[in-house]
Amino acid sequence: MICDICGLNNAVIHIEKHAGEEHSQFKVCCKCAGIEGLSPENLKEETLQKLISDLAAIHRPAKLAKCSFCGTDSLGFEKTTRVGCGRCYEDLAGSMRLARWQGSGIMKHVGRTPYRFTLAKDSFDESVNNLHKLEDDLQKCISNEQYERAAELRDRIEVLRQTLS
Amino acid sequence: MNEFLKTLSQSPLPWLKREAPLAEVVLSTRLRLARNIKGMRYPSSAASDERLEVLEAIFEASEKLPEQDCLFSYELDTLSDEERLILNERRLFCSERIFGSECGLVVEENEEYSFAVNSRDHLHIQAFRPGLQLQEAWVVLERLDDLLAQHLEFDFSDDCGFLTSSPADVGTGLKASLMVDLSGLVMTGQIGGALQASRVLGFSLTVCRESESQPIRHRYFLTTNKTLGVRELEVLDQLSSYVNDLAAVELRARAKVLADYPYRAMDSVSRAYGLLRYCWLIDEDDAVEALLTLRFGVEMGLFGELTHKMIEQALTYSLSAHLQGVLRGNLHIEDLKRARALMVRKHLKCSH
Repeated sequence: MICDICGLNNAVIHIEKHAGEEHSQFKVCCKCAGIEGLSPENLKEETLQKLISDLAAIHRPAKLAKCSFCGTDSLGFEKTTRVGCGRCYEDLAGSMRLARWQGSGIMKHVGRTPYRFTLAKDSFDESVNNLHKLEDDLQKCISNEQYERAAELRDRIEVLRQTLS
Repeated sequence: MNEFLKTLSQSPLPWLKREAPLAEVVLSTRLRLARNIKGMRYPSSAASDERLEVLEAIFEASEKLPEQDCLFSYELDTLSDEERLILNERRLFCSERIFGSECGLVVEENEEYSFAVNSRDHLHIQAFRPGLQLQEAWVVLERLDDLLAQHLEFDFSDDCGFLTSSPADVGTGLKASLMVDLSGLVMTGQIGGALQASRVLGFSLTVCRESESQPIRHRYFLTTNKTLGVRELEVLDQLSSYVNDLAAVELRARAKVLADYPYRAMDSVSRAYGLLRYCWLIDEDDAVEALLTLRFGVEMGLFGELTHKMIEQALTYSLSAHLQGVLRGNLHIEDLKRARALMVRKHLKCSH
């Protein structure tokens, strides 16, 4: 899990706030906790309150996020719950995260991929299979002392390895 | 009128057929895949020329399909209101989902599937079937998705899957929607349990077309909500097994109604029959509602003299554009109501 303040380091302190219907969760890394003066010893009610309000401010974007391609902004998105283009998913990710989380628990796509991808994957699998076959042949040739054929196979394996990588 | 649309307007709605799996409870199955073209603004925010470009690209891709001879493509702007209404009534596109001009529609000859272009997303591939036919409809969509993807580059990201105009569709872009008749559960007062169970299992069960004249609703849409983090077939399997359970409960409830409160069922069905039998003027919503109630009556064996075929016919011609098509005229609302009343009575074979 990533720190909510710097967005870089792994979070080590998890703070959950449950007030009535409202639930919020913040995660902070070691470094940011140091800056905020947070440690298990001095974790007092006031520091927590301050931290939570600070974090809330971080979460609420001060400036309106706007898509660099189609110009849809976070306000427009909230109103229509529709994005204007594929780029919005990157540029408006902050305001969209909530909407997506509410919809479905798990985030990663596991369904179909476009045909092109499937095709590329199939040919990749085929090449890998070929490679294994060639390697087996090579071993056989070496044990049968057919060095000329082995050299040829070695070169083919080399080429295939390069294309695969 | 366009020849194909004319034929369409004179044939019964294919998704109402009774000879389909589990059609006693599930009236129709609808699957929809949402796709967008990479690097293009989505229809709601795109300029006219961009939308036109998308429309042309998708029409072009559809012409490369092996069955292109059986496909009919329409630019909706070029159709008359009546022609558009026919397509709308056959649920080949939904007028509320259209943002502006440059919208298109590609329909397969037998209405096996259709592509709606520039509605909410660039492309909606949809398949409509009678009864419960999730797998069958999915096979059609899967094939079309692969074929079209050879000519169109869809907006896709590894993490989020297929990107769509609504974040609720992101991932698979697949929505399945079943129209179910839960009259038995409504009459035995168990519908609350079904609503709750659906919610818990991640489906939504919503009432079909809310109209004020009918306070009690018997037909519902059961739709899937999950598009992210789950495979297409997984969702469809879950829906299929849930709707099978739901249908079993519904059929038990119907048997209970017949055994314990037969008058409840008789009352609602006979009222519907009375309305259709004796009305002089009737509007579309009321006619459709009454006919679907009658369908339930036939299902329960309460009306020996009526058949499903008659009801299918009557339903088709109680839809305004289909009725206008048969009458070959542009009638005023009141004349249309009168014509509808007569047409329904004719198909139900009752004299007046």
